[in-house]
Amino acid sequence: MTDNKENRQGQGGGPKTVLGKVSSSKNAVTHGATSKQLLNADEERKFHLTLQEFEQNYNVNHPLVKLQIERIAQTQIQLQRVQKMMLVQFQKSQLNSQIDEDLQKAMDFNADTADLKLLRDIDPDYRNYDYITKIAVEIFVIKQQEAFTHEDVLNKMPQFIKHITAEAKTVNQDLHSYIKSELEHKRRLKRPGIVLKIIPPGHTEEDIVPPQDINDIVKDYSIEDWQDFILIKQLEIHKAMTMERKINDYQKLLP
Amino acid sequence: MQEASLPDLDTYDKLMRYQTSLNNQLSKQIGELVELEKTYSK
Repeated sequence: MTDNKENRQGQGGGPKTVLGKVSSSKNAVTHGATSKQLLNADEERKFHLTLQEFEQNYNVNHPLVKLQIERIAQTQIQLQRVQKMMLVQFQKSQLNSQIDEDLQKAMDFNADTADLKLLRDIDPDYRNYDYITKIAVEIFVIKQQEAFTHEDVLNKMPQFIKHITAEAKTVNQDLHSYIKSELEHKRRLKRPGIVLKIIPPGHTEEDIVPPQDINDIVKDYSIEDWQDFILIKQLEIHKAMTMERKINDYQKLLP
Repeated sequence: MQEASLPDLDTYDKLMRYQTSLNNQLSKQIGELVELEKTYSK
């Protein structure tokens, strides 16, 4: 590329040919809605038609009347243009909505996936796919071990702990009670009617205050409990990942 | 699904305001034309 003074921005550059000048005159036109100029042949035809109609009914011999009629015709064109744009906006959104619906049907979106998509669209604080992936990796790593300990849960699963703590909060439970209710729910499904509760001798159920410290909470459940609980969460996370992947694919396919 | 069928509200709002302004402008211009017509047809 040659650099000379004439071609520098703001120093004598710019279009030289007629075609270039015409083209650059439209540089600032984005949608043209507010333009006072007539934008196409159809607008010119309508402008002249309106002029004719007025001229048939008004005394156009006076230049002020003639000027006023031209102003009215111009405003009318602008008004029709903006009304057309509003209609186009509606038609465009209806078309997008139809494409949206057809695509979701084709991709076999269920109600949960559709809800998640809506949540992603409207919630600016929505935690993204990376967040779920990090938890899935932690679960994968811990399940690779032949046997894991309470320390492993505490030290190797920070995202998982953070996730279940947040989940407990959303259902207005403390973490200990949340883990307990999830395990009980799962076990009830497995063996309907049987719920095991271990209450130390000399205590009633009400006497037992659940621990608040994360170390105590983790250690209050057996490794078998943690295996079950991690499995419950793993299935949920797998489901969420599948939905997230589906929504990502869907967004890539959108026009 | 319902959200998708709504147009871009920001754009739509601007167009609505522009439409209102043009409507007012047109009414004013027609009023002025009627006045001019009265003045110069005498």
